[in-house]
Amino acid sequence: MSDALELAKRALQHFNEGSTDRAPSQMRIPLSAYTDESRFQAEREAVFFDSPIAASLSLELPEPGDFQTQTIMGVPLLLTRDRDGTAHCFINVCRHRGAKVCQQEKGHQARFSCPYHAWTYNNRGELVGVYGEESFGEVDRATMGLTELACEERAGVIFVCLTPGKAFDIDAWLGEFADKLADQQLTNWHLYTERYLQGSGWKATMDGYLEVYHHDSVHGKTVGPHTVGNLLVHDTWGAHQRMAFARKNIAELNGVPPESWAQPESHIRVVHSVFPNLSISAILGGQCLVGFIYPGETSTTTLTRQLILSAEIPTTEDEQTAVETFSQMTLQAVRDEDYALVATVQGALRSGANDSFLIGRNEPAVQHYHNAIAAVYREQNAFT
Amino acid sequence: MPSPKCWTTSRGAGEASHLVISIVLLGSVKSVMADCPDHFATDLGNPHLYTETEWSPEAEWVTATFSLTNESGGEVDFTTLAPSETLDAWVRYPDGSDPYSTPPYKIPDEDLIYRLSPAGSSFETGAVISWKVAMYVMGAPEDYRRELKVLPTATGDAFSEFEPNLISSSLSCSSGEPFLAEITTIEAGLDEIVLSILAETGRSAISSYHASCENSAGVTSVASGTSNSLTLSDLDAGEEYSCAATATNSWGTSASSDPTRIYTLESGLPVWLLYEASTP
Repeated sequence: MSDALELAKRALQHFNEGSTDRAPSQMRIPLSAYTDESRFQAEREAVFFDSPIAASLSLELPEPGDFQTQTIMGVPLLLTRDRDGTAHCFINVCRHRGAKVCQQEKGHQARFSCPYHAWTYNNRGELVGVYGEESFGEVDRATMGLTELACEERAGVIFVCLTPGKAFDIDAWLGEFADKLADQQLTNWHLYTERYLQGSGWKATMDGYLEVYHHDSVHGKTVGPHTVGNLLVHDTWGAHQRMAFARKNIAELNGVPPESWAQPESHIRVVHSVFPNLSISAILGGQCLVGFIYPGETSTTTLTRQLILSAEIPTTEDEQTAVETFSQMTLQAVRDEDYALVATVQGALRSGANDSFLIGRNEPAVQHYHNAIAAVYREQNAFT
Repeated sequence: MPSPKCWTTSRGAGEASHLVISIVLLGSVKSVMADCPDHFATDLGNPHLYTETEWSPEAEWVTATFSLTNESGGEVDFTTLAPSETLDAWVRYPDGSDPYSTPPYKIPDEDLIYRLSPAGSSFETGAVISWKVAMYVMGAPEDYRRELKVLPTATGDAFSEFEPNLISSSLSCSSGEPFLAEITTIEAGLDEIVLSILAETGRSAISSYHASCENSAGVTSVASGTSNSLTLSDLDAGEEYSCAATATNSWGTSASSDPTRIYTLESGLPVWLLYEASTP
């Protein structure tokens, strides 16, 4: 990680001074930003349907011919990698009568035959077979391929836009953040396991991903003992963010000249937050936690697709134990601690106790995320 | 999705910096202008042009000169638009305010002065589109960020579907001194150049104008006066000169005009004689 030395320096300075990166001021967010259903629907449309979102990791489709299906916010998707290595994303719906073409979650095949009437598509989405075409009548195959969504792959992440016909420029979308993501070398990792977590509302859930202020109080038995609470090194690139936390062992760097720091990355923990829905975190000791977070149909739910990655395929019992321990620890931290606590927030949003939330100066990433939502919404809606 | 080409990047929250621009003008160091951003950037979700740092509270007018390339993949059409319809300008809401309900401040059309705009033209893919516009920023609420965004607009949806690519920009700020100085007409004679200068007045009336012309050898001639028409004399015939002008009032001196190149005549009548010959 090329920035590790600089991040460790900044984290050590904060550690020694008892400080943290801070926003210029506090931010007060009215609860209606969390509860107003019509606003939620409009923001969901602008942020998750009209803008690029992260849908998968390249390592989930490593070889030509690999495919994966997902349903993201109600849209059934078929992600493929064609023989040239190009990633594609199609709506996983037959153009004949609308059945789901591919029923499997993942696999390796070049053709997909609809289980309803056996129309067949290749992994570039082209309609290559119409069962009984003599009796059905002529079909214009050039216009009856699977509906393809704009799809781009950068730095080990596959991005899509869920609105058919809407293009995006991924290099512009990521900007220089692409280099920071590329430094993570995500394509070199291996998928250990994948799971889905039901969560509370979108913004309440995301707020929890974006600050370290809660680590001591919420994660006292999981990640808390390893990190310094309320110490954040924060950088932004457009709406995207990077957060670095200090590990407890950062004190070991005191008195050692930075040029002699052998592994500065072992003294920090870095989270890359790709707007609006991807968190890549806890790259630590050979394991990595990845979360794709999607709003539900209403403002009160989210669905998280959580991946556990390992730097090497665990082969020995010790390696297996290590990655499994990490997997269970992060599951506990996210599901049983973060999401459980956020559920109490969600449940009380309409209690009347608060009419707004006060976001602290030590929570700059939370502020930045809300600013970015508002900015994208305004942009998509011509500043209205 | 419209997207930016370049990005506003922050390193450590809350560490905004101010850049002070000292204008070296006509051989002397001009008094320091109001602190001003040095260029535009763009930001994610805000895929248009953005001043990357704040300007000082004293600044009243921010003058932006910038050029974009059309990367829409098609024609960008301004043929039916007035200059004020080619651009929207916004000031950012304050740090910490509720981002969902606090709108940015839109600078009204009457507070925008255009010297250059693409109005009346259309541009093919790859063509360069330019603006020079002064924006009165004091109308924004006092606690706003003094951070400016401009949003090019055109007929159709070209600019909303594809990002423009910023290829150059410069910014200057006025806290009372004249602004938007430019040379509007030039008459060249054998050994003299007559310039007409236009500038916005700022907070008080313009008291003097100044012009400077430099030839390829670096020899500079200057002229000053209370009239906006200045004559630079004792020049060499048949020589190329680069001329620039400023205007001054009691608050200070404007940023220099864009340089204008002009050749003195190689032969012929002097300007005063041409004038008399053409006057009944």
